Amino acid sequence: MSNYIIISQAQYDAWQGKKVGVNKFNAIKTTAGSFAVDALAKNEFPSAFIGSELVKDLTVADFPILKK
Amino acid sequence: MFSLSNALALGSTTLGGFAYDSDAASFFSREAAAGYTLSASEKTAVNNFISALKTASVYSKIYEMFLLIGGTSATHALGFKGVKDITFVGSPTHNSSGVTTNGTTQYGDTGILNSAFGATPFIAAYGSIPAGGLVYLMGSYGAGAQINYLSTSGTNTVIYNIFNEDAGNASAGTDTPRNGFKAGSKLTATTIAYQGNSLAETKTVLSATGSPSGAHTLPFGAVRNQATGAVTDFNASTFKLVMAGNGATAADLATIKSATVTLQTALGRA
Repeated sequence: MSNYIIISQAQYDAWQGKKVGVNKFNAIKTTAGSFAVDALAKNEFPSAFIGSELVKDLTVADFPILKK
Repeated sequence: MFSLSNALALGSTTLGGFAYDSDAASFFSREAAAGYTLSASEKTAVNNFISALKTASVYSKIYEMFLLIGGTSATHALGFKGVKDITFVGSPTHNSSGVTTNGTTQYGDTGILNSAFGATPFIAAYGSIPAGGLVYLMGSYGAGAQINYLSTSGTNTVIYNIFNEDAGNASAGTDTPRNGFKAGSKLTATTIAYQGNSLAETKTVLSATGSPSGAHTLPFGAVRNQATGAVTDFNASTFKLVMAGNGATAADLATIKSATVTLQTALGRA
C-alpha cells in the first residue's frame, strides 16, 4: 500500500508525460475511474498540484491489470 | 635506499599519484556535477568493478549500464558510459539502496532504443525482487523486440528469459536466492545463456522471427510492447544495477555477476 495523489482530468491532461529534468509525470487511471499519481511526484512536479488534492492509500488491486 | 619500486608503490597509494580508471573518473565527475560526491571506498569499489570488466574484455560489450549510486533521481539517471541517461517515469523512490518502483505507475526508461541491439543482445539486473508470482524485471516483447525480457516466475526463483517469444519460449532452471543477480544473453539465433546467483545455464530455443524495430526504448521495473510502445507488467522491485549490451558469452555473464556482487558488497547493499 502506498500514498497516491488523486488528480483531476484537467491536471492529467496538462501534465501527463511532461518531463522535468530526468523525471516524467505519469498518472494512471484507477479501476474506480480517478487519476492517481505517486505522492512522491509532488516533490518533482510541485507546479502540477494545487494543494487541495485527495491523498489516498491504494494497492495494486486499485489499478487496471496491464499484462503482456 | 629509496628504490624505483618503492616510489611506484608509494605513488599508487600514499603520495596521491594513484589514478582511477579514466572511465570511472569521468563517472565520478558526472556524479559530482549531479550533486553526489562518492566516498573514497565507493570510488575504489566502482574502479575495481570497471577494472574487472575491462580485464575480462567484457566492458566493450556493454552498451550502457546504470550503477544507481548517489541516492537521487539526478545521480541515478546517469549512464556510466555517458551513452544514455535514464528517465524516471512516475516518480519512483530513490535512496542509497538504489531505485524502488511501486508496481503500479513507475518504471525507469533507459533510453536505449531496441535498434541499438545487434543479433546477440544481453541484459542484466541486480536488485530485490518482490516475493511470489511472475515478475518481469526489465525488457521488451512482441513483434520487433530484439531484446526481450528478464523475469522470475512463481514463488520459486526461476529466471524466465525469453528472446524469441514468437518462435518458442525458454525458461532456465531454479536460481537462488530470488533476489540478486539475473542476466540473459542471446548467444546465437537459437541459444540463450542464463546467469543468476547460483544458476548458469545455456538453453536452445527456436529461431527468432522478424527483425528488431527501433521505435521504442528499454524499460526496467516493467516491460514494453515493442510493437505498440505500451508499458505493462509494472513490478515493485529495488534496482541496484541495470545493464544492456551485445555479444556477452556465458563466461562473460559469469564475470559480470562476480564483479557486480563484489561491487554491491563493497557498497553495502548486496
